[in-house]
Amino acid sequence: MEKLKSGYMALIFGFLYLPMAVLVLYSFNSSKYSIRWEAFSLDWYRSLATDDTLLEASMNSLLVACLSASLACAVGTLGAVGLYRYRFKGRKLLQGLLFVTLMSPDIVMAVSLLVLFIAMHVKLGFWTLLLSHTTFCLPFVTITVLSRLEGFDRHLIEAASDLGASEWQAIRQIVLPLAMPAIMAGWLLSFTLSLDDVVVSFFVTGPEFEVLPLKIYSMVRLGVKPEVNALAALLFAVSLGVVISAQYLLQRKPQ
Amino acid sequence: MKPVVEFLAITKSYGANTVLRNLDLTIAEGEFLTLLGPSGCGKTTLLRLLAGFERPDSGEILLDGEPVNALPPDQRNVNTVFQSYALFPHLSVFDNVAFGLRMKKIPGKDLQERVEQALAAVDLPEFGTRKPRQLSGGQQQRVALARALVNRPRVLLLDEPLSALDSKLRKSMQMTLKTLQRSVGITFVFVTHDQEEALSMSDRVVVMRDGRIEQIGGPREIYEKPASLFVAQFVGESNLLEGVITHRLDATSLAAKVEGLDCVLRQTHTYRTGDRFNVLLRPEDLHLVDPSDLSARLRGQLVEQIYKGMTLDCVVELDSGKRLFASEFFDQEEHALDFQVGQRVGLSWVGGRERVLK
Amino acid sequence: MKQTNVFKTSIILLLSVWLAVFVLVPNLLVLVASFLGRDESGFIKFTPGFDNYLRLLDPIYLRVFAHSLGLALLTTVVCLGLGYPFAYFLAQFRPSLRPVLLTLVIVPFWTNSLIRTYAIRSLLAAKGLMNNTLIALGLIDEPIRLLYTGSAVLIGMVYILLPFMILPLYSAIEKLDRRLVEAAADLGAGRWRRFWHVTLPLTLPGIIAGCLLVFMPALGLFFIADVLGGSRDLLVGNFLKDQFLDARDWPFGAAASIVLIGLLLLFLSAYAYSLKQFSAEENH
Repeated sequence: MEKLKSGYMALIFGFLYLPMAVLVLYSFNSSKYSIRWEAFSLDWYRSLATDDTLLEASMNSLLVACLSASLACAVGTLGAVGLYRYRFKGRKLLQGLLFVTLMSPDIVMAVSLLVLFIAMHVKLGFWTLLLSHTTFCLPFVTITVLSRLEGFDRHLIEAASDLGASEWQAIRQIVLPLAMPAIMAGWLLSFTLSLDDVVVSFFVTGPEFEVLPLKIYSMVRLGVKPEVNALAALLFAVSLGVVISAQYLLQRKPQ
Repeated sequence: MKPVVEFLAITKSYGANTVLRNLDLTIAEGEFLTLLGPSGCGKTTLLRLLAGFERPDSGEILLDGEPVNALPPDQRNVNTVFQSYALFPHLSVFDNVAFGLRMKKIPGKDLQERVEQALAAVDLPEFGTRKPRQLSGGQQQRVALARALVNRPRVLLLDEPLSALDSKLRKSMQMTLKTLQRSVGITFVFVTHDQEEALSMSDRVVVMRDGRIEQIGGPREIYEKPASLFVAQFVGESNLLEGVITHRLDATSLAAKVEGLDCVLRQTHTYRTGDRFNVLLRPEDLHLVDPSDLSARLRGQLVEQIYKGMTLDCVVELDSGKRLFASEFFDQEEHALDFQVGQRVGLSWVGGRERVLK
Repeated sequence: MKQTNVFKTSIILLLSVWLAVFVLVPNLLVLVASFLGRDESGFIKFTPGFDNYLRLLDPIYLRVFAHSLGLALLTTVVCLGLGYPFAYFLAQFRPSLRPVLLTLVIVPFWTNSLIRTYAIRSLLAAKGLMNNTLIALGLIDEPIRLLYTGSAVLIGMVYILLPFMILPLYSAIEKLDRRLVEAAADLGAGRWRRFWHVTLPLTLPGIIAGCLLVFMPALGLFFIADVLGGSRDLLVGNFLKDQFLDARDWPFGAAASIVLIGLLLLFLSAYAYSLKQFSAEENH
């Protein structure tokens, strides 16, 4: 029975990882079209490095990912502190809205943001992308930070003010340090979320500002190309690194 | 004695739920005062009002004669030891204890000295560099105590601080607290629902019920002369006998019937004929005797004997069906040991040990 | 006190205003747009009515919706079928290895889904690994057509969305008090009855959450159909993309989007209801 269970789990993990593993492996294959293994080569990575439009799209993507993750962390952390610390009218509503935003499929958010930007006559491009990405990262950060804070003793802030700390001192010296791992994990997850997003970006960016996922999308639709293998392998490596560090931060026991 | 804290006509509600009703209480300088009551009686709320975490709906709180109603907790010279300790998990023991002093901008050298003193006072001089999670429950408790005491508050508030400890550790912490309180001379206000803890530590006990004070007094007074049925039943084990006044004998004495027994009450109470009352008898005041013994006041059947180590607890069922508990200490006359379950026994007590309650 | 209030008000306002401007208002705009018409040049015209919703009932579009809902439902069922035992076994696994395995489930959850779709595509391609393996095993002689089929899209959907099913299931199963199952066994319930009467009802919130996280995106992930199925397998997501970006019939697209939001809210209330049932039971 135990063997059967482990076997089943291995099968599912195989299903999840085999396609990615093959992709990464073949990004090092010198053969262009065949799946036959010819020789180890870094050709496709080299040709990536010389593709200017691709490099530009990557830089754009990194810029948007960094900025939107930071913005989402700033707004989300403060919001989480507010939700944790204070009881106010509409608190339930705010939490509900966060939850609905978290759960709503990308396409619904993409459509609504496009409608907003057009209605407001905002030109599609860098700014619309930044605001949109920040919006879908925001609930992730807020809920991650809030759930960490809620794991701590509610009396900690009272203890701080009992010992003479003002509201601001209590938040700076007690709440923020305690929330820090969750804030960092929230940043990392927002970063990958932004870097990987196709659906929302597809709707809200303009022709002058191309981002990596959309570039890949147009390449992929044309067929299997070895450069895409290399690019995919790189992005996979980035996601892997980021997710593992975020998991490490979140799973570390609250000290 | 000079009052350090005065609660004047305090009322506090949460929504429709009134937790404190028009409550008055004065706390004297340097005393160990315990707020005792079942959960929901308002004792913790009273403490939180004094700490500044809550504000009264009406009434006034005076600290050293000054009204503090509008003062936030960080500006009140009182400190709290929380039930959950609430030690800052990311700070070392030293930094936890130093937190309050740093908020007051006490200079480095003085701060160092005071923190070390405080840690030594709670018997944890070498623990400064540890993190709270590396300490046992009892040690965390003592750090919480040091963290509060190091600020030399006017009043130290303790919110059921011993409830998370096991019974042995609890006994030793009770001793520690009491000794510490005597040596620092700070007023302690201690909240608990454990009557034994309240009796053993306090100078005065305030018994609370439903947002009101039932009785204030020394431990002995509370135990031996409970002011109400509630206090009698809440503090210690008790046997209650129901009685009825039959007629007045003279100005100071009444004739009554208790469990079919004729007796005379010497009471200043304004009882009238036909009034019902209760007689409180503590289990340790009751003794089992032979039913034919002259000292036997009540008779019944011994239905159970429970060996408790220090005492032998007996359950006696009276002819009326009422069950009474008697605790016999082994070092006294060992009458109870002679009786078998199922046997008829008599119950006696030293006159004057009974307490009459309306 | 005053400073505290300024701080409190401003941090709460910041989050509230952000969500209002970028979530609430846009969706209200979509709702309003769904009742409007458009003129020949593609601009929104003020002709309020239910026309757009009535147009959705046209057999052409109904077929799109039916097909998309069918595929999403199938994806959800397959994910639940594959994911539940997996999450169950994972929850029973040696505690020392569990965090590592859990991270292995979480990694695909956060990895670029387009790249993962592409990985499936290269696996299923005519000259891809799948065909070559099948030929090498002698099961087929010629490469068979795997890409651009309904099953390719289904495989892609399941591949992308399976982690979204496993994670909420796992957290529900892990929280399950094992003593309850043991108590059921003690009271004489067999393996299946224990599962049916104890485990399943107690993990229901996780099941609903998982189904929500799989079903809703499965309606919208237009690029999966684009990459694996060509353009013939029209999904609601592809339909929305066409209406908004190509045909530029916004009011019509908005109506379809509102239907999706309605579905989402329906799911969320079912989830909230199941959670409430639970807390109510625990309070008793």
